[in-house]
Amino acid sequence: MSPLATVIGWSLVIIVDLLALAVLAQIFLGKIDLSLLLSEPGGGASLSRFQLLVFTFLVGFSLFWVTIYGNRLPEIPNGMLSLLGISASTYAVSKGIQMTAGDGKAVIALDRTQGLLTAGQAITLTAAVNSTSQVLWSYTPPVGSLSFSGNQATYTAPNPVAAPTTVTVTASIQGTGDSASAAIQLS
Amino acid sequence: MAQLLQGSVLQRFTAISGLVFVAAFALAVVLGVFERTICFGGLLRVKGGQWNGQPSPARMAALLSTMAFVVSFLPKVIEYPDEFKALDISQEWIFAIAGTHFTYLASKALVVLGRRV
Repeated sequence: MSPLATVIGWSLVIIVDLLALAVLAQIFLGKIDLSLLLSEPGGGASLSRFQLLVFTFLVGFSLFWVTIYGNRLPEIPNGMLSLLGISASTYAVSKGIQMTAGDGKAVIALDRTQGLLTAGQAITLTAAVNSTSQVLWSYTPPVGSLSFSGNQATYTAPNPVAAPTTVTVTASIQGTGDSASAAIQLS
Repeated sequence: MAQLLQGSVLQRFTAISGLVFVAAFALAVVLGVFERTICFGGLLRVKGGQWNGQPSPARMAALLSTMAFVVSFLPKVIEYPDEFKALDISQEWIFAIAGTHFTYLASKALVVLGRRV
């Protein structure tokens, strides 16, 4: 390996390691929330998620371990690829079954969850809904204005902005408790 | 310094740091499960349908095949890292894991269909 390639390699490894370290630190400090890592949408732990996680750990650990001893990237056995394929397919099919079922619930999501506006600026939000139910729009605190039609709403910041504040625009499905919000910062 | 410029040192360092990251992440998950910050309840129970909350044999079988495979494969990798290619997973294991996972998915689909019919 040429010295230049080795220097580039070290640089990349250090960057990736720092990123990994940051992620780990955030996990152990509780800033990255893992509480729903193994959960299903309807509550309770998901077996398909758990087995995918276990196989991912197994394959990751095995490959790094073998690389340390062999000092080269190992050839991946076909059986291991099959195993990962089965594992990931199980997870994907399981999600498909859940999506098909919909768990009997209407689900809503906004195309953006945050925004930053200055005086007089406007932002348009679109709600995606998995049913034909009507979308209800609201915002709090009552600063600025909100106009809406169907699944689209446009929030306009006041002019001037009296004080920096965060306005929460909420879209909810009529007759259900499901809702989605976007935090709009005014500055 | 000259030693650091050797490719083999870089490769070994990369692999070790990757291993540490995987192990630390696994530790975070295990700690989360034991401290109950990661939800682990209901892993082996039927969700939905008329058997909601009952123990699920299909889930139990899938979990057992997964853990049995991990317990049998990992020690071999640790003990014989030089023969990794030769440690190819046997067809019997593939069939066992695929079969139990298929059973789990089929039971899950049945519960969903039962709820919708």
